[in-house]
Amino acid sequence: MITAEDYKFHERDAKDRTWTETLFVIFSVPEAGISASVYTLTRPNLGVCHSSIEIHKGFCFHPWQIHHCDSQMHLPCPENFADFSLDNGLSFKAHNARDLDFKYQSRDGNCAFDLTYRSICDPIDPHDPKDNPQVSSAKVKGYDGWNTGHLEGKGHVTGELLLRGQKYRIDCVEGTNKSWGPRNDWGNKGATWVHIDLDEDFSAFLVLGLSFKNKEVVYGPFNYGYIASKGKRRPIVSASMTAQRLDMLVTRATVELKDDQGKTYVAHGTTIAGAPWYSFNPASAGFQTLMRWECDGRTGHSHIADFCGIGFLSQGMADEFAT
Amino acid sequence: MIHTKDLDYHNKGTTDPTYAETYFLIFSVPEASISGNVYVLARPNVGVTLSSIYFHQGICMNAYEADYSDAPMHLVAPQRLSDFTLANGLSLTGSNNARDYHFRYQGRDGLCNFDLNFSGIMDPFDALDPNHNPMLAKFDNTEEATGAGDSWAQGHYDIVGQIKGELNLYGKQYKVDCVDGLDRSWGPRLEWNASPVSWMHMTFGPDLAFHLIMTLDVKNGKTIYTTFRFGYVVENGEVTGLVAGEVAGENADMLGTYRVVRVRDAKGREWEMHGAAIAAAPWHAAYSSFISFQSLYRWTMGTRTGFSSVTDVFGVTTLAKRLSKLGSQTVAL
Repeated sequence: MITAEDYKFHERDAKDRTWTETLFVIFSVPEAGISASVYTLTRPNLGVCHSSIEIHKGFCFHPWQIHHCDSQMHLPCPENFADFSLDNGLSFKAHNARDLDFKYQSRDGNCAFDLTYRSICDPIDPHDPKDNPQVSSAKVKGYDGWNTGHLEGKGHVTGELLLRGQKYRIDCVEGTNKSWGPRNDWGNKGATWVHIDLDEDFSAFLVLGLSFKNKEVVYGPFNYGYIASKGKRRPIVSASMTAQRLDMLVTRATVELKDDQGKTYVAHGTTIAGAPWYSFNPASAGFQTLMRWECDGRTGHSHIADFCGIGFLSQGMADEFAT
Repeated sequence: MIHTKDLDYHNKGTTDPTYAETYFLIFSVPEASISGNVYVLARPNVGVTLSSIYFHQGICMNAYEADYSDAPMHLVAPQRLSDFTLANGLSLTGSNNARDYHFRYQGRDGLCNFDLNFSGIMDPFDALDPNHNPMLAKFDNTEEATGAGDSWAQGHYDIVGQIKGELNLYGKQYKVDCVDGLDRSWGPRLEWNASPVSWMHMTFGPDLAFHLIMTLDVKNGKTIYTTFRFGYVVENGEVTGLVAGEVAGENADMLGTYRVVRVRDAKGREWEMHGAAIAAAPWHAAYSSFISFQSLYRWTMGTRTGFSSVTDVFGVTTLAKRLSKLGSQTVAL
């Protein structure tokens, strides 16, 4: 069970230099085709912190087309991960396990945001069988960073974004997560992190593995997930995903999932913004796409994030050496 | 002037967490169109180190096509920078008044290892020493003179060497025998929007090589070389500073594919050389706040030919201002 304490640093072996705690939130302005990611990775035993803020509008096939990217890997680590301000201008406060605030003011004045995140359901601990009936498959293959301690949340994000002189109102439902445990920056894995947010009756979250076959991405196996409806969660018991893509960015996706009551849903997504996010970790890339989802006559907007280690990409996508 | 002690840390008496010390080596296997580099960025006052090992074969328009990348950003900073081994499998030993270096690497997945000896064909060129760099007095300060913002303004040297050894990549063994560049820097360095700069080597063998630093910009979506900052020619071990340089060329996206380089040294000698890329890739993993667009060129100059590398380095904030849909429309530059 996730509590407010889980936003603080966790008990750890003080000698383990690989002990890592992360915090991730994603938000969007669908009507403007804007997608944003805010990621913080700390190594409290080393006293260091990496922070990446990435915002893009529409499709950017190359990272040099992204509209705002502030990524600093050697910032001093905050004392308290539940309430901190970093030298790059990012601040965060967890009021409790469900209510979070994010603020940011970039060095160059080109970007600022002030966001309140209010959970639409309790966050889950995928390693707790009370939260996740799929606890036996909660460990994502090769993803050591998620396999010790992890929370997944879904919330209503409201506030304001300033980007290059223009203000945007934020009002979306999107995901957050947090991880803690030993983690080597070793890019030999991949997974997809999918949110399908339609309305207060239906929001879904799921994690699937990711691999390559003939330079095409194949999703699976399904690891775990849930549906949130009017503030209550129910587990997804099986799911699959297929996608079409241009380069590494998803352009169209279909997700089929079944809940614990045996009801099956099929969601179709088309992409309204996408970009490769190389700066969330030098050892990995995130291929972020903001989708317009349709399912059973409902529509909504939320993200697919395909996370791949760079070494994993080499083995799947490089021409000359891939096996 | 550079001494053996410059192989080690320079941060004594400082507490600034942004204080950075770096090593950068680039090398190649031209007959296989393989370009490789090794980068170490230590922040000794924080106790942390990034190490990036990166290989690509031929032209990769996207980073996900690169053939090998290992880039942990939070390794423990070594006690000494003149002789160290990092947890990702990289070892480096420097010697001989900072002329010679021994790089060893054993990747954690067994897909890549190398053992390389870099033998300087010259003494290190101290960009901040007026006896080495005739351009130093022409600029108002060292940030202007080096062109790379805060990155090189406190301490920086460049050197060309012959790099020999063995590379094993995906089970295949390659002999390495090339002439290319290495540099080292120290001083406070923010991870924020440093000036775009090109680090260029045009080598024609151990008897003739050129190094050039130019600042960069992007205009109308195209990379342009703006101001010559410093450089040198090394001929049979004798180093002469350059006093003028200009570069033009063609790109595919942000990757250099063709370069024409004209330089003049302090003795009034002039050269013109042409390079066509045989390998290129964007390299995101040295910094999360920068992208280096790296090209391995086949250079021609009269009857001389050679292979060496150019890296065009841009901060991602600069790229956003020039090339994003919002930035290119709204930012006055």
